[in-house]
Amino acid sequence: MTAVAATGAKAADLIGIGLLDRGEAARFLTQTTFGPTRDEIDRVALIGRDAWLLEQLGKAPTLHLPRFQALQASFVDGRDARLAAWWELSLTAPDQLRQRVAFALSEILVVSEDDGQLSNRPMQLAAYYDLLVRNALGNYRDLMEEVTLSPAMGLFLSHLGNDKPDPVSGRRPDENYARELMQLFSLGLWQLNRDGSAKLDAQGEQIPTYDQALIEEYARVYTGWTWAHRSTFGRGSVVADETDAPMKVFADHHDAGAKTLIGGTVLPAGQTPEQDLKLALDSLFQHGNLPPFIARQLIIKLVTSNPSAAFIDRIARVFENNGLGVRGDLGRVVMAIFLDPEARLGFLSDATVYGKLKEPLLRFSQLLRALNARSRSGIYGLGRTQGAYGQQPLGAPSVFNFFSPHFQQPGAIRDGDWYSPEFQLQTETQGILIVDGLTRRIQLSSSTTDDNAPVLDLMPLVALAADAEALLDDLDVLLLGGSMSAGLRELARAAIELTPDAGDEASRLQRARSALTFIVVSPEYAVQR
Amino acid sequence: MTKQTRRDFLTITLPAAAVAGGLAACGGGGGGSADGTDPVVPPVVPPDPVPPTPEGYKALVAIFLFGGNDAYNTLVPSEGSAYSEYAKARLELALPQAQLLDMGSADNGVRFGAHPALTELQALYGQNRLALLANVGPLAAPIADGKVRSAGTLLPPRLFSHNDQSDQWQKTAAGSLESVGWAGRAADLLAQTLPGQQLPIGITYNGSNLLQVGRSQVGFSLNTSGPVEAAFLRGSLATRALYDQLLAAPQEHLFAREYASGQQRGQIYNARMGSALAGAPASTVSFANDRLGQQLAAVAKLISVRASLGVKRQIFFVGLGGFDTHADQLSRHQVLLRSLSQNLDSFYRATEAMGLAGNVTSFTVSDFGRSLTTNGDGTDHGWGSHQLILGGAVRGGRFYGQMPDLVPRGSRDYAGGRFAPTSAVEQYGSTLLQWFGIPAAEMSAVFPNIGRFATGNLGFLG
Repeated sequence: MTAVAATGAKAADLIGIGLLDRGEAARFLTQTTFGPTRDEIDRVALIGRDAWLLEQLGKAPTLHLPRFQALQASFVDGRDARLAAWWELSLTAPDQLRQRVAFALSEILVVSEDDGQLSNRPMQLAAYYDLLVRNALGNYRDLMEEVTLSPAMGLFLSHLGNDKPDPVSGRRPDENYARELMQLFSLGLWQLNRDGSAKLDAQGEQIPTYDQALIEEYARVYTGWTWAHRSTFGRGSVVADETDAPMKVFADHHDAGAKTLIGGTVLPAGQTPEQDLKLALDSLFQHGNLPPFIARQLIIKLVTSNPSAAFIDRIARVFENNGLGVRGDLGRVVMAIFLDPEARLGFLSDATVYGKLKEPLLRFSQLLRALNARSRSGIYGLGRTQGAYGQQPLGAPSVFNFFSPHFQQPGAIRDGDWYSPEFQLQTETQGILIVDGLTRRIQLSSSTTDDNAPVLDLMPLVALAADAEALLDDLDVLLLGGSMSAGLRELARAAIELTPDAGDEASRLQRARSALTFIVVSPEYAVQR
Repeated sequence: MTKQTRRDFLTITLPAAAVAGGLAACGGGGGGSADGTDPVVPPVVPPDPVPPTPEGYKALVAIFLFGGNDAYNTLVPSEGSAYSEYAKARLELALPQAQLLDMGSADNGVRFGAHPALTELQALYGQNRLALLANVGPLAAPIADGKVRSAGTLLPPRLFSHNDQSDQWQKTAAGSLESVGWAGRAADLLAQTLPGQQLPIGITYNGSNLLQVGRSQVGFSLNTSGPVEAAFLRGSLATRALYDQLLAAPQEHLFAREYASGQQRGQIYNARMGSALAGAPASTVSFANDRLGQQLAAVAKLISVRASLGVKRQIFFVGLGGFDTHADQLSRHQVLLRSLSQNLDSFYRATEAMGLAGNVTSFTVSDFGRSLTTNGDGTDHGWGSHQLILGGAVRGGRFYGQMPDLVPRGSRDYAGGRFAPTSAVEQYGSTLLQWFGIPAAEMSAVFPNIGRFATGNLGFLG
């Protein structure tokens, strides 16, 4: 804690005495939202982090499906309407904390429009995203059940229409959902201590959480479920007939035999499909791996790629018990993550590794929110970002997301044995495309012919642009949480001064654009601390 | 894996330097010792004496079939009781016998036919340009028939898990935690002999992958549409100079430093590619307008300018996703295999047109095979699978490796028709790399476990 003492007055801000430093407020909002805005920075500085989080916990969910439906008339392709709804709500919804956590969950409990089953079902994807939005600050057990019964997930991991086995022909149940629910959505592959470290056997080896035989038992649980609108069992469906209603079960297609679950719990033969499902999900929810597994996943998506074991342990304890005896309370888990000493002070004590590479969409959203991007039509026509940013909401290449939680960038990061998940997207060529996309947005003029193209509002920057230092002070707080290095400031100042201030709007606009450009293309902007 | 403790971490202060370290060695991502205190250039020690520069040009092209290709509907026993057993296990997924494209007999005397979508590949097989390797996959050690479920049999860890099995395909040495791939290790060895090469040995058109990651060499990712440059850098030399300074500036944070060095590499290699590709001859071969076609067309184009880039050895990585056919397999697999067959054919003809058919070898890789038994309209994660090798240097027109009895509960079945491989990924890779120029004596540096298997050369390359 000496590092904190050394920063003097700033330490008072960090522990919440008096008005919060605006840079720290912005840094906090970089973690908790799709990016700080001037208004939100002022709000956090005024009421403090705890009160802001509690205020956010109380906000009603802003839902995507209704926006998608309203926007459909404006687009030929429904996929673009879904993406426009996503951008509008991610950038402007007042329940920013919830929206940001929902996005993190969409990269853990993955479904994707990249899959053939979902590529022409934007309504199902919007409904799935709402399921995440509604439960983002709720209970993980409810989330598990809604995800399991969601037709989008049923299509994506193919348990929709999963039939009971046929001992005569040898047909088996589909194992897809049984496997990935355990591997990716709840327990992980090896047994964990509460601090996220692997349990080891007598030979020092990791201990598998489950084996193939156990997957086959769970696969039998998820049999008999299909579309709510179907009158007979099967998989087929016409998109026009579909709703987002949870899947329903045909008991005669459910495997009613006895099943042995993780830890040896036996589901007796002859239970209803609903009883089987409840007890199977309970068995995963109560497993000791779930709290550290989800704690680490959320921490690395929201705060830092390399949390200490103690950080994971503190969050896993909150997951186990929110203080009122409730397990799986995501609202309290998220609050604990953001208020944890490591989330607040890590950037001071670990200036070299603490934090994470910002994923490309967040580098983009942060710029758009900071400069209050709007289009003439009011529509956020930012749709197909896969090429420019390597990423599109609910568009991962597989259930393994855009990047793996265990990815190590070759070179010094791998050699230091650090994790750097987001670097998996940051190939050299993608890196250039991202910089291109961000800087084109900065250059985009309000006279663009595209009515749906959000344009940055540079006027607050133009007002400061005569004075390079004032301009940089402003952008430092807004985009870098007040952490701009002297080296970056010097180069950004030189970029501004390439255009002398002629006292007119044109030169000041150019100076503002230069400053903004050099900050968003800087290595410092790419890293969240 | 020795993870640093948080306490160690707190005491470390990285010298803010060496951004360009990774740039010095082609494709290196920067160095740094394990304790993170000494970031330096990649640990490549020039050998003494420097090995001779290889003659001529050679390329390997890895075609990754993401999701786990169903080998048992790619190559199907086509006659007699073998077909009946197949049809009985496959139920409604069984391909009609009459539609199979004849591919001759495997080592066990059973006649096989290819999926009807593979018409071009059948023709290349008939011209002895395509070879088939039966039942290959990750192994910790050879597994004898009947022993797959016996106590004491050494198995690769985390069988049937996508990411783990595809990692093991790429790094081999099942169970090893080291995050390097075998093409990357081979590139490390070869890089010393290729001083004039202006690009990293590994080039990927399908994003980052483990296969091409070595200790110092790392696959370089390119866009299929050509070289890229950020628009804001065009026009103003002063802006470009400031941006170059920004990327070269010291960075306190490790991730910021690695970000900057990646951006620098991206600029340099894209610029080199841009100049070289400007002189690329027009291609006479057309590819399917799909993801695989775009990637293989880009590979062919880059090969066409090899001389101006001074490259003599290249390992390409391309990929095709969608093979995880748990449901709706018959229609999905058909589309995927059509793309594979058409585009491999186009690619082979493109190399032929450049007079390089014998210098370029393409080979398939996948997460795993799939279960022989079905869940109705799909299959689940398996283990061993069959792979395809294509090129003018390939001793094609025949099967290599051993074909197991494809019956559930047969002598190599782990469960539900997930057959234990009879050839290891090490043997597959070693055969490819011997042709590519890695001496057999150095193969254990690439494949630490190669000595556990009977041979390091399966014979499919001349």
